[in-house]
Amino acid sequence: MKFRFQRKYLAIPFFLFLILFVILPILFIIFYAFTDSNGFFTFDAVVDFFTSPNKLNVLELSLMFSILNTVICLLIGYPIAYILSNAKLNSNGVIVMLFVMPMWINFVLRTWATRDVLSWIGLDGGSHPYEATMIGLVYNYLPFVILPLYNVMLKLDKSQIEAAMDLGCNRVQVFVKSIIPQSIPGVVSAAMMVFMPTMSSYVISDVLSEGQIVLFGNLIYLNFASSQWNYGSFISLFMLALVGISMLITRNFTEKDASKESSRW
Amino acid sequence: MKLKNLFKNFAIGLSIIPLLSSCSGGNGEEGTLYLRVYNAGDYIYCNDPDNGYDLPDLTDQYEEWINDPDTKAEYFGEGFNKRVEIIYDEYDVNETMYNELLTGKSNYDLICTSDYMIQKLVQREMVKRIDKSRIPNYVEYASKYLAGDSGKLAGLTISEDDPSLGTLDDYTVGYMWGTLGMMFNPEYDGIRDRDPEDVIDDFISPNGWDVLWEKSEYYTNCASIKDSMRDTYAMGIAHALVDESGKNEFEKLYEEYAGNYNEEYTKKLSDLFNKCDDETIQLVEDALIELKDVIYGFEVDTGKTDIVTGRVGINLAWSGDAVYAMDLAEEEDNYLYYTIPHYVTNIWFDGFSILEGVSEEHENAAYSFLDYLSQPEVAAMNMDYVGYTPFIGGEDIFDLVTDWYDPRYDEDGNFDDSVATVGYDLTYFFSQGADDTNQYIVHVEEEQLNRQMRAQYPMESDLPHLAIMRDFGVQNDRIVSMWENVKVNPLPVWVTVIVILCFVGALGFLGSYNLIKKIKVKRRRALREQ
Amino acid sequence: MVKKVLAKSYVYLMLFLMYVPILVLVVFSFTDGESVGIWNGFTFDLYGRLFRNEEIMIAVGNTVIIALISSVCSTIIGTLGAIGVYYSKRRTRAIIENINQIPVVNAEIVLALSLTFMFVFIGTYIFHENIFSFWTLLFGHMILEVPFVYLNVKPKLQQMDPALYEAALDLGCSPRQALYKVTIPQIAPGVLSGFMLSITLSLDDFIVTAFTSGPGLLSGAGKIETISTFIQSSIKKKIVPIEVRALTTIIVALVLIATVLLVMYQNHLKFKASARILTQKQIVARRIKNSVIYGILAAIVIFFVVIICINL
Repeated sequence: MKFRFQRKYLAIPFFLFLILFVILPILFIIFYAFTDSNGFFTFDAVVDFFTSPNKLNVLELSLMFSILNTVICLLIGYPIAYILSNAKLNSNGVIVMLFVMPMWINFVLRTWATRDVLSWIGLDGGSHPYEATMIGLVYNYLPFVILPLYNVMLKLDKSQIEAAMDLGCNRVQVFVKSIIPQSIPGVVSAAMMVFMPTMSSYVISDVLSEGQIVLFGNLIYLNFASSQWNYGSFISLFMLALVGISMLITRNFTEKDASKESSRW
Repeated sequence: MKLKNLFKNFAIGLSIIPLLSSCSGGNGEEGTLYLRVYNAGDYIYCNDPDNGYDLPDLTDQYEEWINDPDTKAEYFGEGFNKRVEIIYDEYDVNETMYNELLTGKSNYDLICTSDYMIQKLVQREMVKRIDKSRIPNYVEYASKYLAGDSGKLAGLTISEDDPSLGTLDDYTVGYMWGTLGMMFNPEYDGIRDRDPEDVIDDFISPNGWDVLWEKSEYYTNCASIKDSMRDTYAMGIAHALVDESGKNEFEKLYEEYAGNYNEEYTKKLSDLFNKCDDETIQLVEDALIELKDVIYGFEVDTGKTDIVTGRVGINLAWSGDAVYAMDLAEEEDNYLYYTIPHYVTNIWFDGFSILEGVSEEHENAAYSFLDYLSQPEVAAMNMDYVGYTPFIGGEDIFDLVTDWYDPRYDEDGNFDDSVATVGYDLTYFFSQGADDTNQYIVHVEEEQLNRQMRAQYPMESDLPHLAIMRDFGVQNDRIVSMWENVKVNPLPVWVTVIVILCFVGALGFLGSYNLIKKIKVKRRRALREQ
Repeated sequence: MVKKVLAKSYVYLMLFLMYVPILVLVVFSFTDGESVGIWNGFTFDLYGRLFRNEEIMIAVGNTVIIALISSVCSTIIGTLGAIGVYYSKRRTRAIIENINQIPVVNAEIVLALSLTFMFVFIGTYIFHENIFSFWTLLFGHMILEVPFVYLNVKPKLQQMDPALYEAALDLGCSPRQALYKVTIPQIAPGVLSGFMLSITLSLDDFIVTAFTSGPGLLSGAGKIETISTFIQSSIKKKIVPIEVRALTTIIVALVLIATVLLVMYQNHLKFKASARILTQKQIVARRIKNSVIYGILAAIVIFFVVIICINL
């Protein structure tokens, strides 16, 4: 039988790639999380994680930083994206590009430069570890928030906003009733881009807090470096579970998007 | 770098490694033998013309040396005519190296690592015994104090339970050694209400390590300490081990044997320093948590530059790093000090070991490299560049030390007797053995007693109080968790509550938002159908 | 009016804050103090030293090579994947999209760790030797990038008029031709932005590189160092090599130039599309404006080239 080209076959390499380098490695993490150093099945790592006050403490601290970072980034980034989306000053998307451009300078280097700047303005990590880390995190993740928000803002349904205006809403009401609901998918995807990576960031917290703040990322690295693979794996698995949960919750937003688009034709 | 070379490397890099060995050099050589060396970062002489190091990298110099047919025949026997080249990689901390060896992520022939790590590797049967007869330079020039038959290395048994494993000396060729001490800048701005003179007195007082705890009113937020479990443990135990009356145990021992520090004392000191029962660990943990509030931060390797740039004023440092920092600061007329506590401090060694499973050719290459490194002129070059003190003694090194520290010689070598100096006795290190009656004394300025000289070679009076910190063995996990306790930051309850509320709130919001959306859609659909 | 000014100044303030650390590096690239903050007098010395520093040059070379190769590979896989998935059954699409979402949302260190475990396992039990090399690093970077390429191409596919493809088939194209002639040009902007994002991600990455790199590329038989791992490991030794500041300045200059050129190109396209008729005066004004901008860009380039040549 002759092979007949179909467009969906194009996805085969992509699919294989994802299976090989996403699914398979996760299986390894699961395997290591539930075995001991000799390869026998055990719940040691699980028990250790949930009974160790330190690890729970790190979890809590990471959650705190993640939530705060997400909120602050959104608070700063939302207005920026909104202003840029309908301002003349960004007619070519230049300003947005300029916001993303710092990423071309390696982030390790930027973090070390931030450390210097912070200590000049008196916010050195030695005496202000929390503030310094927070600033570093916001600085690093702001572009990740601005991009998705900006993309959503560009697609805002202008006619709906005008209709709301015509129907007698004032600016605040328009903002609350039309713009915010329309931009929720952007907010959610921006939050997703920030939340998990913050929990696992390890260079930033290490450098800017002078080693005083341990986040999940540091903990995983610490476990990996001290040859406690199994403990590290379980923590990774725990983070994966968090990723899974957040994907489940936010799935509807992306799906809604897709169905809306596909319903067009 | 020449462009052509870049392309060559690129081509080599793309082809898979086994192909590497088929590249052949010129002049009748058949193939290439790669000696893979894994060393700590910045731990060997490198070409750096901007700072006055004009010679090629030491690895390149070695390649030139070993590829001379006569030298090659000496180490490999006749009939070996492969070209020998070095693949030299660097790691950051011992644990990284250990981890890479365990995972098989890398395959090396020769590794350089610290005392306790070698102990660990031997117990896991990962390194070979060293045949000293194959490194004549080491036998001849290495200091007897360290590498002699009753030297420090030979005094460290691998395992208390299994004497057949021998001592550290059987498995490692010493490379560098040093102490753990406190580096400080008496003029540092952050020190409150304390004259520089008093600061110096505080730190060189017999219980110098207690200062950070006991005089925290002056030194809060001035010090950075190593972000490493072992070094902080050493500092913690030296401070925290006290008897019922609150007297420091090391001090007690010091006074008990006053003036007569014999073998019994050494044994007791070592036992005390390596104490790691649960009770002691708890004591150390409490002390370190207390310390954490007082210090500026933990650093992996930024301490030596931070103290120069004025970010911190006090740093728990390894001797070589201290030398580097003191030299750097001196260029800007900023004088730092280094002291080691009187009662006890940690002495450490780094040495090369040959890994198990290495082929005979590679082993030959490894021995030739070790013998090369043990030549006094090579060791002197290394010492000059790295700042750490090599195991190697001999005239070249002694001349180098004199050249550095004796203020009576000016830059042109003229001798001026009027400069006041004190004698610094290094006979213990440079003496060639019992029959060598020479005195090796360096004349130094008085402050050198608490500066570079003290860092590079501890004073003779320090020697009895230097203790080796062994591998923690079975207590390792317990100490890892102690270290975690120290590092994590307990949060107040209200933060916990808020964090949980926020998290649940966010989940709840997203969940209910979806639900409401769904219900709305349903309702709308129902309406439409009507 | 006040509101507009406020809005503008807010954006510019934030933009400025984003650039503070970079500006610091740029400013201090013109002095050779041991660390940022020590002004040792004005000099272009670092620019020469940058190009004489073999280690940095190797790291830069590695970074660029990896960024380019991995971005090209991921763009191809991701684009084809997006097209394929878009025309698959709904169920398959949902599954693949969910898998694709994992690396996007997942913590980088978890990704890196899981890849390391897998490579170690494969190396130990299948190849019986260490497989960490250029290839593992390449796959590590690709897994970071492919999902983003996919996410960038997908919306373009959704916006595309499906009738076009059908029309091409009706007009006698084979499916393959239709793909090349219709689909790919239509989604080109998405592919391009995916490619650019890939390069950005690859340049910025540290953790995955640190975990998955092995010997190869310009590092020859040594471990591949990219700019980020090089900086991190040199910090562990002594300090950030001061030449890196010069490197930063050069990258910033290059990116700015690229941005300006892109904007001018867009303006040009827009202008063409608007089909306005200009007076002679306006044309001259435009020409002058353009040539001034080109002149400034050229001057910047020449400036750096000269500095580097003089100091080399």
